[in-house]
Amino acid sequence: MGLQPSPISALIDCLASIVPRGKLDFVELIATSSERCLDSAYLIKFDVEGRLDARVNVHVLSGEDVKSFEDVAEFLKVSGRIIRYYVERGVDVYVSVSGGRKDSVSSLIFLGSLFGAKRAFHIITEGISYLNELWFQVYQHLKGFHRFPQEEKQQKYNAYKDLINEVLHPSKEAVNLVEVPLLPVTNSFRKNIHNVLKGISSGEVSTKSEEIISVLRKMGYVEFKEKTAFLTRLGKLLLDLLEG
Amino acid sequence: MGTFHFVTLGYSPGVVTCPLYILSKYMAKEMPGGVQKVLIFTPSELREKTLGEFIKESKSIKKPTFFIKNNDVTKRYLHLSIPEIAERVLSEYVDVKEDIEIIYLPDKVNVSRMLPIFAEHFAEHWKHRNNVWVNPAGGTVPMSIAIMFMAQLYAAAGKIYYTYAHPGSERYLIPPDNWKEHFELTMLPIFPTFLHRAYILTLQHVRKARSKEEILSFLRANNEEVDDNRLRWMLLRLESYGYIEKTQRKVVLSSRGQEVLKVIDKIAKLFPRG
Repeated sequence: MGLQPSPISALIDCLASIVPRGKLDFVELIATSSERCLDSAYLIKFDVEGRLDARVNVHVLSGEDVKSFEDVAEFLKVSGRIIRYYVERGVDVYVSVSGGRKDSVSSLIFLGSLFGAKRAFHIITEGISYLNELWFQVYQHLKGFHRFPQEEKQQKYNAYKDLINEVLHPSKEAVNLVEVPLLPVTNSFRKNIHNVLKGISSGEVSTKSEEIISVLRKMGYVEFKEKTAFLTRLGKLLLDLLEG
Repeated sequence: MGTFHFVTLGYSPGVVTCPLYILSKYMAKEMPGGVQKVLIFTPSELREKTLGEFIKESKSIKKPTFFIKNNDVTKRYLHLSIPEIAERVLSEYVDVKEDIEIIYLPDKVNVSRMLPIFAEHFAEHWKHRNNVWVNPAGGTVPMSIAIMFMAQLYAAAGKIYYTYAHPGSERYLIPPDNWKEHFELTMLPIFPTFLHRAYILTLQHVRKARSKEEILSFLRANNEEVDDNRLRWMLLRLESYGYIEKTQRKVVLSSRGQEVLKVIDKIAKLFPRG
């Protein structure tokens, strides 16, 4: 989730029309703890659960933005856990890279490949500046939406229904759903990298892994101190993600 | 040999110039050999207007202000386009050993129209085993997606970095000395898939069982500038990562190779132009 709800709600509309059986079972929104982001997320939750037979879960990150390494790491861990949870249970996962910052885009493409999401999408909405302006106007009346009791949410939603609809559901002609390619990471290959990282972490590295280690070093996952390999913080993060 | 930087650029030249300045000045240890060359990928429409024209015509957009350290330098760049500003600032403030190349993309939205251009440049550097770092922060989301896709395809290449500018700091072209108060520079993870295009072509070729010599001549025909030792190494690598296996005198796809090709076929359908 970014600060504007339009790209996410428009993408949910598009997905609902292309998924098998026309049914989205779960929508998992990852939001920062900023008030505006939470209000957007909970407005979408309210709207989607009222219209579609789908459960919407909002996952709240500790920071107000995804800016530092620690923020990115938290985003990756939370999102990775969700994708992995569903994939391991045989559920098809569709990843959205609309909304949020570019580091989140990059992170979700990475996670989608790593854990085997089925497809990934981005949405391009014509007239997005107009929708953002409109959202700015409506939002003056919806501040604090995520904290409202259900009844008050319903009252506010009803009071501004037309404007909310215009913001959340741009016409089909105004949206363009773009499929984003995900590269495959096979289970066996993931295990192989996982074992090498674990080996480095515990100080037991097989000489057979030399070539992989040299690539991992180039990519910033491994560093050497006096011929001994260590995991960098990026390497520790990758190991954490693989350990789940 | 230093590091080659592949960066995407939209309307904010600082997204390209600030991290390169920070990396070369304050984090040089992490980037052995310094900045060798910078390739800026940007939509061709940005070539058409100077900053001055852009400010004049975009009345609804707030006038941008550019700072180098703490000096407003907007006036100095009014006659240049946004990509030219990035190029000029980099050549003045960052020690780039070779040159700064601007590559214009035909589209800023359609990923499949951008991919061949990214592919061409990544392939060229992959051939020479150059160390490539990627900054996907500038430009549109599809531009970031396209460069990330290629970075992962050629994953053995290097690192992905991202810079967050604190509110108000987006105006910097070169950050002040207390840069940490203005920017957060983060390395992002990327998984080493080792699925370079040459490997994919080889896997597709091995759909039918082939002799080692047949595969090598196929590799030679598709990689004219690559020497034979490197081609043999590529073949060994495909085997050591378990994509192909030997059976008596023939080389065949392993189950992993088949699994990968299934996904590649799926991706190819998304990009019918190849």
